[in-house]
Amino acid sequence: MTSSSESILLLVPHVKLKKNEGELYLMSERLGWMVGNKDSFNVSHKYSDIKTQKISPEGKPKVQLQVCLHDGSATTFQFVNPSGQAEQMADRDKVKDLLQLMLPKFKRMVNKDLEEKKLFLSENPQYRQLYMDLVKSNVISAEEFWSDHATQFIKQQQETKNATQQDVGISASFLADIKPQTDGCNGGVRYLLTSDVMASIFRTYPSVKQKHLKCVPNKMTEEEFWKKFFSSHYLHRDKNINDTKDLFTDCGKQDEQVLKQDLTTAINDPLLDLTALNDIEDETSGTPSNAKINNIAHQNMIRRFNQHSILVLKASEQAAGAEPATVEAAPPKRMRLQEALTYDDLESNESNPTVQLNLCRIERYLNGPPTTVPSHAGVNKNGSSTGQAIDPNTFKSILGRWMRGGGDRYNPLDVLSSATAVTVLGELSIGGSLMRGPQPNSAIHLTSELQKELKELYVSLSEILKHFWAAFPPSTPELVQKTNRMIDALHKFNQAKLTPYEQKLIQASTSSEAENILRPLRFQLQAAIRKHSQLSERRPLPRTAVSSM
Amino acid sequence: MEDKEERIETSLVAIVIDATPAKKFASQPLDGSSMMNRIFDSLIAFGNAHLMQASHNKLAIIACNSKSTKFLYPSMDGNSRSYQNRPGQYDMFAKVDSDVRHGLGELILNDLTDNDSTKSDSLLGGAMARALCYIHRVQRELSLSHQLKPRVLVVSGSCDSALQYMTFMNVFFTAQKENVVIDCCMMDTDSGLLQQGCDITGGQYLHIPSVAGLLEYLLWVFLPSPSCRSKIVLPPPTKVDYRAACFCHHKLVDIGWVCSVCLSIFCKFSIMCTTCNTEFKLNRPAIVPAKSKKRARIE
Repeated sequence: MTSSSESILLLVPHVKLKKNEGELYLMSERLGWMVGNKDSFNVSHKYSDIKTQKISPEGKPKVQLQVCLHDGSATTFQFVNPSGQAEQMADRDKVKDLLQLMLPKFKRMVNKDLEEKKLFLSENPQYRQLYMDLVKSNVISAEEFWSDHATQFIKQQQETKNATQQDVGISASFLADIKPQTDGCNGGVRYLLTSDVMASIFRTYPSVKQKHLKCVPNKMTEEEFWKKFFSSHYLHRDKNINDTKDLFTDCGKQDEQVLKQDLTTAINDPLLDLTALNDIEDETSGTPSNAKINNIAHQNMIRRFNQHSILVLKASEQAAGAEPATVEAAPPKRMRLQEALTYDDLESNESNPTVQLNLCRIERYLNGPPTTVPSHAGVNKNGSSTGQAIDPNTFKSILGRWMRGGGDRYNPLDVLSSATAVTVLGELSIGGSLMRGPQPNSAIHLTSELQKELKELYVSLSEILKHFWAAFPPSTPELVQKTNRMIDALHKFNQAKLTPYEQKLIQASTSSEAENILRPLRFQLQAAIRKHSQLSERRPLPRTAVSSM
Repeated sequence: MEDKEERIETSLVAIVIDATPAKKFASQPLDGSSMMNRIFDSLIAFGNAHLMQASHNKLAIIACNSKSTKFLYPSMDGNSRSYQNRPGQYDMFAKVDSDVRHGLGELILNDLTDNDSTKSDSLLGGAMARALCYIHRVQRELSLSHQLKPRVLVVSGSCDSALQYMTFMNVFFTAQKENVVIDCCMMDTDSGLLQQGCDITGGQYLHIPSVAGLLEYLLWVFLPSPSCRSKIVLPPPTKVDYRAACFCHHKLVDIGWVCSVCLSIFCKFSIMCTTCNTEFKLNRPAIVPAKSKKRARIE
């Protein structure tokens, strides 16, 4: 009936869905409903898909429960227990209570994910645009988008995964923060221990935790244990009260042992001399007994500080455990000495090795485009060909005449004859041969809106194409599958995006212009599709082979 | 009338004359004279017309051929030469006339006495650079009450020279930086490089259909200062071809391969850049699909 891996938490018969009566199952990860005599679920919702549940108000004739899903749809179950409305209510409440218990567990997971994605999209407008273009138009699915296309998001996620979250430490004043509550009638004082405080105590005093594990369920109650703990000298041991009956006496000893062990294992630095830090050296003044008491108090204090420091150090080592956790062995003495003797800033800093750029034909940069612009003044073609043949003496005489041509011999008509002047005037007037602009079809004018849309099209298409070509050569089945997916996406893109845009363009301008504008896009699309069809010809059944995997 | 706060505008036109095609034009007879005479006379007339427009206006004329460049006006060899002016002619016009005739003739004759060099390219780039230097000098020497509006007018009839590409580009970008407008009037041939230069600096490029009417084109299109050109109906700007040439075949390419190390441009893909010997490592099989390579759109 149901898959064996799922445990059924609750089964409610007599539940109507859309006028069919059936049974409602609540399992560990989803809820399902099936018509009475079938053996598969007609409706099944994962808890993680469910946003909220709603119940019909009291006093209504129908007893109903509605689950609203994240995608906006909702399913309504009606409870129709034949034994009456009270039973129906009871059924409904059972379901409601269980759902109330289950939903928060899954909700947090989903919400966190959703929120992260939302935040990412709002922070990266280019990805938001891509999301709108590709996912909203069903070119690719949302999961694909998040897993393949939003590369930055994936990177970000991995980074957060790698960076282990730092544990929140313990507040230094957690014990002082436990506020007593006076009980008005008895004059007694009550202390409220929250689980947070308990956790803090356990972390501060690991041996207490062991004790707690040992004693609490079987030997004494929780309350007793904590009472004992707070009255114990273990907590107040710097006050040095001797009480052998105390539950926590051996805790102190245990701590001592741990401390000793840590001392021997942790410190293996040959250059570190702990005895230099001796603090009882100059203990000469004062009466011996007094000094001794002081001494013990001091020592206790110092010991507690040390213990605390060791715990803190251990915690930090654990936090760094994600990285290679092996504490590197203390470097050899020689190296340590070397380190202490040399200073990096005093060394001459060597420049980074650079690769020399080896240009072998620099003249290539200096040469411009060749003169291919042909002269279109046909009149002078003949002249120039004969021009080379002009006799140098004739040329000289012409030039000489011109050089002497100024002054009195100047004839204004030499500069411009009336006939030429009229022709030129015609050319330079509006409508003349020189006043025509360049061919109009060379520049296509798009409204800014269409331009923006075109840009978005380019971005979306190149995103899909990037993934398509990245799968080449498709040597593994996964890659083949990827090319298939991408080709599907390309086809969808063509239908859902390109064609409507072309229609818009045709409305705005002429069809030939629209074709020109979209030609590069279509070319890219065709290239991918051609490549893919070539590929599928070579491998007869890539699609089916893949889908069976 | 004159506002004391306002600085007096001084318009400086530096005309760069390309003298290489002189021989070609000399062989074309025109109304009992030759086309060359017509062109040179037109240029003198244009220069004088510019000077006539306002008393502050300045003029510089530089000529070049394939060997050298030469300042025609203001002439560099002092005031030694005498000039004769017609009765009633403004002194300065006569000086321009005489200086240009003399200097230009000398330049061409010198060229002629040497071996025939019409085959090599004219030093247009160098002449333009000299014009820019002159403009810079005038700008510095000008008193604060004057504001210089400089521009360069190139009158040429020869083809682009691929060898001077860098010079041209340097001149164009310098001019752009110095706010010097470069105008260009092309006779006979078209020049892609000068088109770019005019476009970059905001000048007017005109390829004239008939050389005989040069003066009218000059007066009509290039005499008005750039500031008032927007108010006049002028020939529309030509479509400038900014395509780059590939390094391998010197073809103009729309889309080509650009080496990611040395920025060389190629029209075909090769595994190694032939300029800097960089090997392009592609983690692809030997048959290279178009997608994997670096594509660059060259404008």
